Amino acid sequence: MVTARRVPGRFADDGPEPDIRYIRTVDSPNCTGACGWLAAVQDGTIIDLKPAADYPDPAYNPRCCLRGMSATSLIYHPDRLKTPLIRAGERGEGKWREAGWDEALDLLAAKFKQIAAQYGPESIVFFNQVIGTGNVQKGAQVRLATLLGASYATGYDYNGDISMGYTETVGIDSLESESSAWAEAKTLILWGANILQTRMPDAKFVLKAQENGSRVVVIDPRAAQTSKAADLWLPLVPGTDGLLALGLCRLIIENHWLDLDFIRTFTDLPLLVRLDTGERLRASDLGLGTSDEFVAVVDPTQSAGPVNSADSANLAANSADSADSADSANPANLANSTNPDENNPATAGGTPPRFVGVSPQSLRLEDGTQVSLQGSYTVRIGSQPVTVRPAFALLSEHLQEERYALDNVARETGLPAGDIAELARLYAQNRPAQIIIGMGVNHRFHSDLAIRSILLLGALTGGFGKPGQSVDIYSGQHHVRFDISPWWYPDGHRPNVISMHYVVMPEKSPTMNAKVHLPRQGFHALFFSHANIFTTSHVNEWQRIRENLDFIVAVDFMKTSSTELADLVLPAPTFWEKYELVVTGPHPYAQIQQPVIPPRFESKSEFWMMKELARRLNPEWESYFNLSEEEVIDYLLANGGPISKGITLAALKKGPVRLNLPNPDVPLAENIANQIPLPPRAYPHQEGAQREFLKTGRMEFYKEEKSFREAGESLPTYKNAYSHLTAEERKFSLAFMTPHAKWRVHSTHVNNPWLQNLNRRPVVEINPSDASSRQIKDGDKVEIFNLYGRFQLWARVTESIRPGALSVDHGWWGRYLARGEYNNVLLPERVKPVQETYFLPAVYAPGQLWKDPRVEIRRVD
Amino acid sequence: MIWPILATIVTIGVLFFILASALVSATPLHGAPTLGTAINLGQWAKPERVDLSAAIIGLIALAFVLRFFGRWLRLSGLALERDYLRTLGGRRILRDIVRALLGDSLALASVLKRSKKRWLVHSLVLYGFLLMTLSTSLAALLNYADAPHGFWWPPRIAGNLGGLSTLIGLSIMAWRLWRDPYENNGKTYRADLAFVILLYLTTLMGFATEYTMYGLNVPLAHDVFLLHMLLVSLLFLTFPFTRFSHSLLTPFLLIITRLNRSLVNSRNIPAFAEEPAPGRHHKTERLAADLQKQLDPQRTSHAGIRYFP
Amino acid sequence: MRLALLVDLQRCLGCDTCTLACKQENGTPRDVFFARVLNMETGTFPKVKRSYLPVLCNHCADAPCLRACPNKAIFRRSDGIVLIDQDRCNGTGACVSACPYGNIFLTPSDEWYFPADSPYEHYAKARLEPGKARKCTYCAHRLDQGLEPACVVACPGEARIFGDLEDPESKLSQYLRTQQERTGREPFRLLEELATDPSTRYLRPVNGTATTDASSGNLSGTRAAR
Repeated sequence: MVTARRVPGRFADDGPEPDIRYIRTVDSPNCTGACGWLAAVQDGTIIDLKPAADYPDPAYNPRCCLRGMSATSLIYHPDRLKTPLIRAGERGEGKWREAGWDEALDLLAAKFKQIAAQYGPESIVFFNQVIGTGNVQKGAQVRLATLLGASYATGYDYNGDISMGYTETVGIDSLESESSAWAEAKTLILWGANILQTRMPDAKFVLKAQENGSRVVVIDPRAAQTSKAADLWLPLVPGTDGLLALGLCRLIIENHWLDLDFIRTFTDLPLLVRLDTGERLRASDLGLGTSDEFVAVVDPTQSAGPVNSADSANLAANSADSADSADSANPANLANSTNPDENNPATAGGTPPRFVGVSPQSLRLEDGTQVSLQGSYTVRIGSQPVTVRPAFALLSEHLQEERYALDNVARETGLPAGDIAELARLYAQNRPAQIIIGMGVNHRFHSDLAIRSILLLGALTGGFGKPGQSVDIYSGQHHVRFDISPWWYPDGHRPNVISMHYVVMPEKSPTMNAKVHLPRQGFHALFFSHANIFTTSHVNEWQRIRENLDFIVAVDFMKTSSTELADLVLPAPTFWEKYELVVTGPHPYAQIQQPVIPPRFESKSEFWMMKELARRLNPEWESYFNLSEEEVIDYLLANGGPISKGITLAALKKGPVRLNLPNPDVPLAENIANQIPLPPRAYPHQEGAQREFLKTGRMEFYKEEKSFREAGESLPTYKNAYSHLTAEERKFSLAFMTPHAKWRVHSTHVNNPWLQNLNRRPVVEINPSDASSRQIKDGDKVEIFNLYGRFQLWARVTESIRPGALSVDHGWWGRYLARGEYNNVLLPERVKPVQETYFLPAVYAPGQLWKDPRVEIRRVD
Repeated sequence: MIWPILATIVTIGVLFFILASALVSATPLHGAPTLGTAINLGQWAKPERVDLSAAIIGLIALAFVLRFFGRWLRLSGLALERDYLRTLGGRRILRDIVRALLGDSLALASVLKRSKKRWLVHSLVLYGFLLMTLSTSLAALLNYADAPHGFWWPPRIAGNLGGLSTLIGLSIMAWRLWRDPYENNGKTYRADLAFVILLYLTTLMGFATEYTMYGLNVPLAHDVFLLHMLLVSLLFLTFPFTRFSHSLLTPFLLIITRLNRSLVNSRNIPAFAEEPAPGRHHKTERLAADLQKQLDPQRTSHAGIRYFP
Repeated sequence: MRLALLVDLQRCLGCDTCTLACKQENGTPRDVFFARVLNMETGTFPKVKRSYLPVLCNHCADAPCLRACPNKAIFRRSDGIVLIDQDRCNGTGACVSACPYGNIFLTPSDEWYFPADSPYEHYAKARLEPGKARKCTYCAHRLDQGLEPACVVACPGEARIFGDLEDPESKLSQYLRTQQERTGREPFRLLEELATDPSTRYLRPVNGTATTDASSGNLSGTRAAR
């Protein structure tokens, strides 16, 4: 009767079938999603997008989200950069002269040559956010920076996306399971991780696990989107994550929920620590080995033979051994057993303790010795008697402090004690149990402590290395998964890799690691690509830094609030208009971007830009770029190491190819199954580069370095999140959070009108109790301020946020706020000395404190 | 909001007053408050009986109509919107109602906007129908004695012209219903046909009355008139079940449409403009409450809507 | 035959991808969203619950819009899909007021996102006539080509299942059966009391009724046996 011809819809009209091509590509903004898309192209225009849904493992189909779905609105945005732009007026004035590529690149080359000659090439700093989104294109920039001998600033550390807790403990910046492994978990703890909102293509595995009976615990001061799936929502006081974790650790110990085998094998907790120096006892001190080796003490009751399966009886035996006390089976005695001299079995007349050397090269002791976790022993080093104790004994003593008692933890975190106990029970007993740490825990001065504490929780219960049982931390797209160094670092050279911190900091930090090389005459040119640093980071600091920069070059596809402040703007294509190899952190597939449409306007790929720039800087360098972008992909795959072995461009053109990974891919699984010492290699650094900060080859919960000891952070400890603030900074009564928005990937998509249609203006979430005491009503215009700045937006009075905390979605450009920039109120750059103990760019480097400012809010009429 | 309901009820009231007047008329000359029909219908239809039947039919029809509007009131969610609409102020509301009733509905502006041809056919029926009711009512009101006005009495001419126009319009409609496959929406086709047929018969029977009364001048005229009146009663009794309903339902819904549009434009209630598709906040709230009921029947807490973030 | 969409609220992330997948497919103007996701919060801190409800045309068997349309522009196909005939629609807006779910859209004039020569605007405008009421069609044009609705293929949570309610072997019926067996959940419909007999169905979340009892710390939610 009636057909659909009369209703609106695509191709609904009569007429010839339009000529449409379908092209498979992958979107890769900084979201780690790496979703495959099928674009319908008619007359060189994208007219439709659908998820490609062609992953060989059907569990991954489809991968998409609202941001990818509205990508066409970015591709065809009127604010796309069309031609190279040369600044005509003052910086930020908005006066530009359109230029041809030759003119722009000649100018750029001349400037670089001049600055390099005057101040040295290191004074030119290259910065490209999330290099993992552009192994080919952004890699080309690193390649040129290497040739030039320029500085290359990393963003991962500067952004605070990692906060060194993982590095300090596991020796690598971050590790994640592939998302399908989440579905195996019986207990899923989403710790400050808003997965349903920030990782939409992967979130279904959380919900499917729950559908199959798993318990989902969400730890977040806001009832964010993910709390939709929460069986247990723990809205803790912002910044008290570390205390909660240590409180849970104490409950785990008290309840005998320990995996002693794991603790003995994979952590440094059995290793003896000297109480006089606070350093670890070395094997060479006792003549048991070299100074690179460590010492543990053998449990005399089970001296040899295969290690028994772990249970709490073992622990009781250990404590009896050392404490020599009748009721020592009581786990509370773990900490009481430690008066050094009295409890020393050697002096108490028992069997003398047998010390064994522990090599960082091997996790198992040679004769299968069962080492003791408790006790206090006296050894002679030289002529001095020195008291030594296993780190575990120190730790359990530390956890006996009153502040880690359940009642106190409940009071400080603002959570019901019953919920905390329930969480401990779920995590320890309802296994496999998975912890996913998200951004909510990071971005704080003391978040490394929090993450060390959460990792401790995992280690005590053996919560690593199995599908659905791991402690993952959001790795982001900075995390490099395969060896890209042959492409990035030609001839084995490296640029002067520094952390962006040191560009931004007004003065050299007093504890800066000696490996950080700052140009003698400061930084004079900034080349940034696909970064909105002037808006999404320290806006106040950047204002000052820009004055010292002679030349600022921006590469982007969109006019952003940062390109507006540059001297030269180079138009790049979007992800949909160029070749790229996408191998993103948590996703197990390699995919390629291929141009769905030709680059719009005058835009040129970054690879082309770098090639042309290289030629202008030094004709000999052109040969380093003498291959096509597709050939670069093949080159990267061929040299990427075991993970990409055998994968070719030709295969990727047909669709996604799974990397050479176990299925499911779970971090540390191989290390644990085959007892391979930690850490796994952090690309693009060389094998062994991480050895210096993980000397034991095990998870380190005792940090012996002086900086840690001076800070009182040798053991995972709790420090108030705001304790590093000055009294003036602390006067403001509200915590300030800037979580990721549903409608953006950082600030990408902020000007996407489709998404603006759903998210009409920036709001600050505020609890009714905080709002009413300040006469703020829903929808009022409000000002948020502190010592450093102020900005205005609109109030969203909501019960879904904890009293005492404000939340403004991250990524807004100033033009959408009522006044100011939301990053106005950030604390100035300050780095934590322990995080400068070593330096390995983007692996061991200072974190960030975006979430630490205290603010106040008032209504504006 | 009370205004659109009042307006609709008043409209219904006026129509029923016309209907009632057409059936019965006061007999002020005799002083007594008894009602009497304008026309002597013969020995087996005493004026008192006709009065009673008319009153019963009128009440039943009214009950049907009220039930009908009760359902539409619930569907439209107007009651949920009362407090929001109140912020518009009386003048704004009145303006919207008048525009919806007079412009959109009576003047058929919304039909004219799209198609003049359609507007013409629609007008033929609507205005024809209005002329007929008006003339019948006038005749009933003014014709308190047994002597009917002459054939050339102007209201009667108007009525007959109205009937003619209605017949022409209905014929075109019937042809369309017959020929156009798209007229069958799979749901209301028979009800639509029923109305056209019923109105057609009623009108024809009206002409038959005129013919028998003035052309033949035979006593049969009274019986034919009775039949005409019965058809009229049937038309009104079946109001909620035939296409007839749209003559009142559409104005009612158009009032709501206008009011909602005003509410969005006024920005008095931010939620009405903030939602992705503005103007349906009250309905969204109802869905939220319904989901809440599904998820947790015991819970009394209110489900608040957040449009963003 | 009665085609219907099932939304499993357990699997729904509340991500709004359906909202924009629909826009991408159907080329709707600004402020028009055939598929929306309602975002709700219930309770007071700390007993707050967030929930999401994707809504779209329910394709009611007794559709109020169909009865309300003065122009008889709305019709119901034999497969149960309710459509607005764009040729007959006069834009009176009666259906917009009549739909109890608020799922019909009529804007006085179409506003777009970008200038008219932008691709989306160019292609979308060619398909749409301004001033007409529009709504979700269950992507009837895609169904006629043997494809599933756009929101279904683009749901990252696989929360939307489409099929024939009356065919026990359809994807939808099978899914309902499986869920009934495994999680004990029965589908429900919105505003059932209005007797519109909607086609679109929902399954409540598995943890839908779970709330944390702050004093006892126990999960007091009722969980379906499985």
